Amino acid sequence: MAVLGDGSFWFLVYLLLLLTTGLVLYSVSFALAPRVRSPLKEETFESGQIPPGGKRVRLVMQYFIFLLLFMIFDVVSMLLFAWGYAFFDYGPAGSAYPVLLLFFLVPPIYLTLKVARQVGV
Amino acid sequence: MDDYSRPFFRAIAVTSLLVTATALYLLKGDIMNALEVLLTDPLAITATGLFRALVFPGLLFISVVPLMAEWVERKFVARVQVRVGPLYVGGPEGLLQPVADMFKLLFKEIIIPKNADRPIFLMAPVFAFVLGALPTIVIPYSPSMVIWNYGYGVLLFFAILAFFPLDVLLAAWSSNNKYSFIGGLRALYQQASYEIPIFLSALPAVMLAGSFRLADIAQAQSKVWFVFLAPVSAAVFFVSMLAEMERIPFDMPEADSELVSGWTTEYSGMAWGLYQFSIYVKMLAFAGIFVVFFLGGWTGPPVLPAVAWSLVKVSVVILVLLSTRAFWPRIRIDQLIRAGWGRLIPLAILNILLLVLFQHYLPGVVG
Repeated sequence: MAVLGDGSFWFLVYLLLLLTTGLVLYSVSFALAPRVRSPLKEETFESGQIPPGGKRVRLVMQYFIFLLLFMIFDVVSMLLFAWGYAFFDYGPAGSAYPVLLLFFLVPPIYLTLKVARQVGV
Repeated sequence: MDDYSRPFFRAIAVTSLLVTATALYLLKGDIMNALEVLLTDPLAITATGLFRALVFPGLLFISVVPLMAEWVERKFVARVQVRVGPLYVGGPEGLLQPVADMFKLLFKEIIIPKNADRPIFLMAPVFAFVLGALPTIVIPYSPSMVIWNYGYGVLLFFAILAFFPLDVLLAAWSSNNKYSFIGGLRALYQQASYEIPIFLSALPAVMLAGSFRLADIAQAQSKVWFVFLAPVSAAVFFVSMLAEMERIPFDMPEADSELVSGWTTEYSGMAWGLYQFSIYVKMLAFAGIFVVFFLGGWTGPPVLPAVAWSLVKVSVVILVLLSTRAFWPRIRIDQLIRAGWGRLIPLAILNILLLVLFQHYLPGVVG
């Protein structure tokens, strides 16, 4: 518990305070503001047109390859944080593998950008 | 109040009462303690946890700064564009314009669009507000002025940050609008792409300080600020910050001229107000962490107290963040993603490699 410090209790308190603030602002708004329903008002906004077709369209997968890349990089960058934490303890020899890992990160980016250009993104 | 909105109001009011009661129950000891301190030695109140959570780095501070930031932004952008900006409300130069805006939003109707997923649609702004404000819990303004001096503050900050795309997608999907959905997807791609540069450019600060505690990182810069040791990382972090906040050069998710206002299109009244609030609070959190990572936190010549140094630096960073709105045009989504992966990540990696190469010379400089 030493690493949590004496303030871990304040995380919960702060979370509750923020929730309270948001919800109170909301409920005050609901209590004060007028509400008049009308079918035209509740129509979703589409620049004055009547919205055609279903509104929940399929996902646009144009940039999905970048999301895949993100999944790899997210893990790798978090692992690098574990190394960076003890950067001075390891010395130059200990930094060799993380540096190698950093070099391995460059080809996937290059390939992804190349593929993205071929696909036309 | 009509029959239609009564159930929503009841649910929200009951939830807020329950949450308030829980908070009061948890805080009962601290409230009694703070009252006692207030009666015996009023100046010592700043050292209590309750003061920190409620007033200075906490609730009051993060509520006032967005209002000030909004006024500064409108005035600054107006001056750049040779307009006068807000002028009439509240004394000189329209100082109370943001407060007036807030009250206006309180009295405005929250329109729930047809076929919207109502609970998610209504709760997404509250989550955005909580997520935007929560990172400020770990940001120190002086060695003692921090709500939670957490040993893994850097990781907590980024963990909370990672929830934003989820909230954006929830809002976009539940509001049942094509513009919202396109904007939400763009926001997802943008925030996912720029999370990696922001991690990798924050790494040098952690490497040099050898700690995840933000107070330690600020203290390690008592000799040299990290912006001089890792200038490329600082630049990458700044640009990624703009992208994560969806500020102007990277505001495709809410591009006014193409997507109405992106994933907030269907939001109105206080729901929209909470979203605006969350954006500005997030700006405060990012400015705070940028100051701690690269500009030395509270360290500086002893002409000013530590808290004042922090506030001056945070204000300068916020002003620079706001000024991009006046100076830069919007770029395309594919340019943004290409720049993020092709330029910013290699640059962030380059700075890490430089630090590894010069590792031998660093311990003398890092305080």
